[in-house]
Amino acid sequence: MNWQIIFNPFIRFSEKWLLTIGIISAIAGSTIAVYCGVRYDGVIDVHTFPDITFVNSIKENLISITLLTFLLFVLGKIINPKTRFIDILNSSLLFRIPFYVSALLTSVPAMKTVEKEVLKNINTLDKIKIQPFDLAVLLIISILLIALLIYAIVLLFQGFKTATNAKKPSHYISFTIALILAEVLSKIILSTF
Amino acid sequence: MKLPIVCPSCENSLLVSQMKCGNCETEVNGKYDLPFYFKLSREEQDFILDFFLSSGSIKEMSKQAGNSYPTMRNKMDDLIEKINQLKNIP
Repeated sequence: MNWQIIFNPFIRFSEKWLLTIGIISAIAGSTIAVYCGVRYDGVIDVHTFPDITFVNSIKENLISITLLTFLLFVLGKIINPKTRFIDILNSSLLFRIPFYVSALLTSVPAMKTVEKEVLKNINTLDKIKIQPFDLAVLLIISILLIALLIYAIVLLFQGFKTATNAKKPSHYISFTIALILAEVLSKIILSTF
Repeated sequence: MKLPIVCPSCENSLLVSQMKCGNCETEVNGKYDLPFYFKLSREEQDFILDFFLSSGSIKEMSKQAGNSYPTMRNKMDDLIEKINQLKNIP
């Protein structure tokens, strides 16, 4: 298995190819959100929301991608004036893919069972009864969700690094700040939806 | 045969101390700096040659190498930085 393609596709593939994959996955991701009843209410967020519409999901996705792209592009231009918009956009688009997979994972029946049980006893949490099998599935899915979040950040970081030729620790710290800022701003903007 | 550019003992840059005519066997001895191009690694020399042969198009080079444009541009920028550093060494 070629790990470089999985963890840093930005080294190998052309910008057109990455852009195509990114756009198709964003549309697919919004479709998944409607099907699984989740919303992407932040740059690094996936939450259950059964009443989501396709148009709103696309809007949310678009806001997260635009915000992240804008912040990272400004930072990229400061680090390296040769940074291209398309490379940062592709990084932001591909960064979202693991979240679409996360959305799929939340629709696993065991997750829904646990969710219903928690919601039913939201005020009396000590009465929650979860079957051992459901608990095991919940644990596995939780680990997978964390792994997907880490993978998404790795993808974004590698894409940003390739686009800007960032090498210094100060660049990496700035990248982290930009990502946190994008998350905070996206939460504020998307909370109005 | 690969031209050695650094001393195998202390890793300092090597100098040219002798040149020989392949026809009449005349030998020239002295202490000459290696041409700039030869101070680069073989991979870096090949990169410059490929850049020249692709008419200075990084895009064309990236297609031929099967890499993305920013990857090749980063290689180019790193090489420019290295050459600038070499130029500043007296």
